[in-house]
Amino acid sequence: MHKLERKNGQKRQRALRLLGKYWPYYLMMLSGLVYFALLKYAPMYGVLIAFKDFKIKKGIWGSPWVGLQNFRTFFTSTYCSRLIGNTLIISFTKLVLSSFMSVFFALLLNECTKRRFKRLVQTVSYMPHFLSWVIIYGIVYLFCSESAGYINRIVRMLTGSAIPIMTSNTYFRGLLYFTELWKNTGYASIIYMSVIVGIDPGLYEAATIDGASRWQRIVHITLPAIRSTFIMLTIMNISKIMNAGFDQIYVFYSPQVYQTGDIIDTYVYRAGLEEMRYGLSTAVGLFKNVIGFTLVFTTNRIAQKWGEGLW
Amino acid sequence: MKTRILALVCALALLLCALGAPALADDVITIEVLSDANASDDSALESNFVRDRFKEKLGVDVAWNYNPELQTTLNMRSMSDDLPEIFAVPSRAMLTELAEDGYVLNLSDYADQLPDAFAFIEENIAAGKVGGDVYAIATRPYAFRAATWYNAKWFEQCGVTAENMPDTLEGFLALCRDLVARDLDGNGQNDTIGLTGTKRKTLRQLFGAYGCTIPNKLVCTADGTITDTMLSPAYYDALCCIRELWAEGFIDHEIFSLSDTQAVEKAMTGTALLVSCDWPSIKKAGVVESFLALDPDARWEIVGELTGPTGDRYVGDYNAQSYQRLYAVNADLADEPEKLSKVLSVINYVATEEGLELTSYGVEGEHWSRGENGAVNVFPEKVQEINFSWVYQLCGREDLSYCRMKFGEAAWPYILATSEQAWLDDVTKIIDKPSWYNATDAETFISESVMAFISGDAELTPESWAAFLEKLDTTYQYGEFIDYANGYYHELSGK
Amino acid sequence: MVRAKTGNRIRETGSDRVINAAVLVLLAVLFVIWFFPMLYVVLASVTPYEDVVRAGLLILPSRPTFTAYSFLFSSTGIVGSFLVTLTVTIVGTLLSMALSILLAFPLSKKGLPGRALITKLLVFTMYFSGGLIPTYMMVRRLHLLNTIWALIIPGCVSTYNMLLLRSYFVSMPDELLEAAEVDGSGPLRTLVQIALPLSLPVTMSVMLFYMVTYWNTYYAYYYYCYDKSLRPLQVVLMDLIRSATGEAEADEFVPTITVQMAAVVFSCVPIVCVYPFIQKYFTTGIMLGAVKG
Repeated sequence: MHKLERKNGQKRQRALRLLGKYWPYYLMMLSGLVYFALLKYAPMYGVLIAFKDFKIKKGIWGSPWVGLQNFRTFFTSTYCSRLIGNTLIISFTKLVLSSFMSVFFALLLNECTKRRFKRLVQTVSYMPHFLSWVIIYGIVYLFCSESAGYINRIVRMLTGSAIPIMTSNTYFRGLLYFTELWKNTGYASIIYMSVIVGIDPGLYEAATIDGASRWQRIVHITLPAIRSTFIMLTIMNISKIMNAGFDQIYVFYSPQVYQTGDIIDTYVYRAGLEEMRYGLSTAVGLFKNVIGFTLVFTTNRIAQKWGEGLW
Repeated sequence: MKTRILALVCALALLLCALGAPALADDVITIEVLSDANASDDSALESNFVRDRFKEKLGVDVAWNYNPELQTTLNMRSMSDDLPEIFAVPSRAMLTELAEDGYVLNLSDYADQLPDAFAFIEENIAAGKVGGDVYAIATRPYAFRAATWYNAKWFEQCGVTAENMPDTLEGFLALCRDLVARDLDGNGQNDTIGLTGTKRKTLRQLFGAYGCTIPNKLVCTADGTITDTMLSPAYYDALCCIRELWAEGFIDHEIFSLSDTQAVEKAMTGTALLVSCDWPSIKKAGVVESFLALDPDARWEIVGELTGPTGDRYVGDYNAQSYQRLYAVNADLADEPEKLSKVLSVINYVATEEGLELTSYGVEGEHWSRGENGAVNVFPEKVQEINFSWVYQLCGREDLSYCRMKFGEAAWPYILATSEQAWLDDVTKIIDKPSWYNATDAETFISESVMAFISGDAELTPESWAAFLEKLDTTYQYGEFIDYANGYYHELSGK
Repeated sequence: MVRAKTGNRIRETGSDRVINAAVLVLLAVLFVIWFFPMLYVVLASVTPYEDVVRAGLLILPSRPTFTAYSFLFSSTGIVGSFLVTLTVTIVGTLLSMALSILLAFPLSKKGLPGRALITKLLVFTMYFSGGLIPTYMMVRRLHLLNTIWALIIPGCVSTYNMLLLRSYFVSMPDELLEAAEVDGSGPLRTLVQIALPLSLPVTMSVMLFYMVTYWNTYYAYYYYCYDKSLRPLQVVLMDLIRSATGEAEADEFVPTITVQMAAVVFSCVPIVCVYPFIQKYFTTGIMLGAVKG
């Protein structure tokens, strides 16, 4: 009894000491936490209330069950596996390509010696991010159109026939990847640039003096510096794997490329138009989020083994 | 004694005044209308003659709230009990949901307050019904507007005028193929396309000549049966014809990638011989002007009906029994009968002759004058001023005369001509899908398969077509759905 | 290759020269791929419609015209909406940055009790939210409906951005911050006087991200407001473009492609102009000599 009391006493003392040390930090976080409590967590609770009130007021029982019904509709759809497959393939490829490209571009910029040119390229690189997919589509059309697109004009001169880039299953995904990289590489590399810029130049000096080659300097200094940012961003991007880019695909796709390009979100969108109930998009959204969150946990666990991770 | 009587009389007089006064000055209530109809000059909706007339005549100040995100907004506001008095509903499915959950007023109960409205939309009132009662005003659809267009300039260069234009599909296509072979835009390349347009509706006249229309549409035939033209025997022939045209490049391979304006632009620059679109895309004054610079002496005319091998000559499908918009009333108003009657009076008013004239043409004397035999003559300089008034047409309008006034005499012949073409009655929008039928899957399957047949990605033989129909029936339960649609339609329309 | 601030030039080797050349070539190629479509957008906004249709991608501005821009400015709400968006962006970014930094810094302290739990709770909100309707109801309950705050508050802290900041704070050497504390500086002072100045590149980047998000405010308006004077820039531009291309009712028709391009240019120019200022902070050597030995 005595020993237990002493242990609890020690625990309490430690807790108080910690609180004493860390209270300013809690204070700093207060307003941010209030925001999350009010605008993120309270509405979650509000969902339950809404359904309860809703039932009482209008006397209808249906809502939670409608959600499950919609779930079933989606999973028993003949296209379910194709949709999930397309979503995962497109998403994963985009993830790999854009991770590589944004790091590669940041490294490229960093290794550039001409300062003015570097700034110019950097500024231009992040502009495409601001174009909406509709506009980008218009520009892509000018290049890839089967009848008058520039690419096809050249191809027709060489081979006599045109490549249906935008309407063929063979090229559609490639088109998606290319345009995605075109649009977002610059913007995505900003964060890597900002980290690279903070590297102590003395490290490079020292390495050079020790006889390190350019390549070695990159591998041993630059890359490690962006390692934790890279891992963190990858964790978060992997968790978004169920979002393959609706805005982009919706603008570019057509029935001719449903086979390779139809993703979960485009299907759900059509379902909304076909006038299925609102509940389907919520149900599917929930499914995607569950997957996403599970992935965060899993990948974070893996990252923790390397000393990184979100928590 | 006299003073007491005098005092009594004065008191009585005052009392009468007090009672009489409110009866003379009605309170003007403000109501909100939420809709996805927006005037291009949005400041016009703040204060205008329509709003003034509503205030004067009905005692209602109508505040117009434009919101393109109708579905989400309605969900949010209905759940928080914050719905406006009148609101547009984006689809029948949402209307059904709202009606079942008790957010929307059953207008059939108030039919006596909406006599003109119900009469005006009589043809398509069923489109706003849920379970037999009217829950939303289904505004009168616009007149039929689709057509295939050709540039008379080129046809005349080859000696073909409106008089000797072939009126069979075969003859017309032969002529067009001939024209396509001659390099009309003079750019030295054999790249002229025959027919362009946006999405599947480009092909509607080609299908129409076989008595069919684009796939996955529920059509009401002359004897009242609902069917999908895909199931008719002529469909196979129609597909063969289209497939051939596609293979030779006559049909633009990019119809799914183009927007309406891009398709018309292709026609204007001579890249395409024919274009399939609505008359506004090609004949509105502003449009004509901007295209003039591309081709100053172009004269775009309607191809008109073409008779196909089956003897049919439809130009497209048209939702005569459907709706342009659905306007519903907040169910909570049932507890406020006075306010409700004012709200309903607004809806009814725009369906009366006076209201129609107001929302279509403006104020008599100011914007138009009445000619002989009651015709409305709008002052030309005032047309711009009444540009916005169409948003207030909560029940619809007399489309032909309205468009004539608004778009001018230059466009009128085309407006009239397109509306007089033969069309198939498309009732897809008003048939609610049952929960056992996966409409999205069926639509995906149909779009993909038919597109593959047309583009040549899939072999088109009587066997493969039959296999497609078979799968449609078994895996996607399409046949069952058609039967269901028949039953549903007969119940809905009472026919 | 990086120049040390002291000015010592490290000798370029032959292979260095090759790599430099390769880098320049690659960057030049990327530059072309990015630049020319942007140039097209700008040129298309000042070229007459028929020239745009005929010329395809290679527009030569032989007869520039500003009809597309005057169409944009003919909309009565455009100037007001520009101010609204500007206000929302400035106020919103300041608020978001303050809240994010104040969350990121404590969460970067490894010893903070409950750190893992709080982080998990915040990450959780990235995937699960009550949804639009309950959020709407909360906004309503807070009396924010139809106010400018409704365009700012609902999305003001992004867990993603906060984590970026936190990750950088974590990577800062502990000795630095401890040195400050030994000198008697409290946590807030350490944050403001030491951590922030040293993390400028990342902080500026996150600030840019927030600014772009606020600048693009669109849906929030239609969900939470109805007052026309609160319309943000993107809403007015979208309405304009939609009205010019929408139903047959639109009496005017102004060629969409030129107007679309003009709208893009008009809405991008301010935000694109901000970047050079941020680039200033992307200077190397910010950490030079910060930690001895």
